[in-house]
Amino acid sequence: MRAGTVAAGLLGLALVLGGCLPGGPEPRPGPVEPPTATATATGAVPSPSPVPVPPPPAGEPMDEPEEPVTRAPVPVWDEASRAQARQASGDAVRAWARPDLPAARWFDELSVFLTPTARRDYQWLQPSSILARKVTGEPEVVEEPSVYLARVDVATDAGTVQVLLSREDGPTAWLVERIVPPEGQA
Amino acid sequence: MRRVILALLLALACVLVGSLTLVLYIDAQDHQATCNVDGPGVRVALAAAPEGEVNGYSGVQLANAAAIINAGADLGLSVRDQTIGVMTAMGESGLEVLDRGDRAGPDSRGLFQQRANGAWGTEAQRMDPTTSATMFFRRLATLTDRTTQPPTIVAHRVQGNADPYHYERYWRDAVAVVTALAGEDLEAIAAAAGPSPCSALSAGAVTAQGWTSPILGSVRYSSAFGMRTHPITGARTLHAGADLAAVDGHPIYAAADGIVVIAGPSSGGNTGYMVAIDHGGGVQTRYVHPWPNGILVRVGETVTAGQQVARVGSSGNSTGPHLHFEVRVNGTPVDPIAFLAAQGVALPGTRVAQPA
Repeated sequence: MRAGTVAAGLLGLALVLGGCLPGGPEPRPGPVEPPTATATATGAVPSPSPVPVPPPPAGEPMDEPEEPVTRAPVPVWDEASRAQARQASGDAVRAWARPDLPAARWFDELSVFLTPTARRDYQWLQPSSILARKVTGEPEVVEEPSVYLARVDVATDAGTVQVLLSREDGPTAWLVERIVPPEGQA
Repeated sequence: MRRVILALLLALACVLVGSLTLVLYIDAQDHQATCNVDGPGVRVALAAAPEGEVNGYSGVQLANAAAIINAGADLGLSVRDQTIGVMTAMGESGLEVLDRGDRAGPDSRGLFQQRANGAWGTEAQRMDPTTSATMFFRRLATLTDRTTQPPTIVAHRVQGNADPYHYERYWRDAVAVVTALAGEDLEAIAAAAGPSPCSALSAGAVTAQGWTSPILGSVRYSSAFGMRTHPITGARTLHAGADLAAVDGHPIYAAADGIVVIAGPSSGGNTGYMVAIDHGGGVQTRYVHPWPNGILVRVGETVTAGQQVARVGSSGNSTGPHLHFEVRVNGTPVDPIAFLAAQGVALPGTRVAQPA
């Protein structure tokens, strides 16, 4: 039954792609996401530079209009951003190292520190599997592999937790991409 | 009468074109299958201690992997599910029936380090390869959306462990063990799959400047960089990249060496899912609209020019499968075709846009 439906679906798709059924390749007037005002608005946004319009390429446009590009400045490594990286990692690990919290509350309170990707992937975690309960030292930026990324070591009562931070651009805050527990505690 | 014949001919032509499209569509699916194990479950011969070694696993470890694979087959699971089972046991016990736990769970036992919390049967059951694997798979089978999630997340949801990405580094070995035990030609599969099961290398040349095309093969250049008028709203907005239409699943490669800085939901003006790579010196490339399971890298991973990082999809504000390829220099999008041309690279189906 299911296989039949799939086969019919594939045939239907083939017919649509072959241009034999109506309604296939028409542009979809789908909901256009409203541009979200982010913290990256830097006041005087430069007006778009005079970009030469290239000759129209073959075929139809494939993107619907996207959110305006932030054009925010690229981040740089300086003492201020190192201090922010230490602060963000310490705060995040303090929220993470709470194995006794109910899972839903644990995730709610941790998620404010997480990137969208981490927010998606950490929602299943059972906090009772975490050994650490306390941050015991000053976080230390151990690697600056990119202006967008920082690796920070955070000492806890269960050993050193490695935090990977990322940032979207200069004006936005560091967010946590990943918290790696000490060896043997993953 | 003539009109009827004409209509019949037209219908026939449509069916022929349709079939051709169908074949192309299936080809694309097959290509994905070789890079990410898929299909019905496999059953393997059980031996007490198989000969040989696969990626460092041998003897009783391979026998345990076989028991896991067959426990999955008994439940009618797919080969992907079976491989997730082998990957999980690699990450928990190194494929050995451990008669001990760890600091996080002193009461954990067996191949899957299942706890004595009542959810995983008796100690004898947790120490039995087939029974413990069956308990693992029964829990896994309740995750109905698991085919859309990376293997490590599926394993993490069953195990409830402290690091969602813990099992990822075992995936490649698990694929190797399953394919070897299933009697497939491992060398041929490894050669076809490149450096990792889902990450092939581009056949395109890397220029002296270190750049290569992010997409190759059957690609249609469908929308250029620049100001354009939206067909529905009439608003003039900047289209910040070049659109390259290709079949769903078509490989997308890193355009140069760099480090992954976004791999997931979009931000900074793009929609859907995306990968962004920082090449240093203020140059960033963006690869927008893959499906979530078409993202093959993680933030923090270093990539080389021509390494596959994603598969073409249509997530976000998109009317069909395509790659939106964007280059930002010091935060500002530039014409990617002109940028690549300066690096000696031509995007397929494009030519350098002349200023109007």
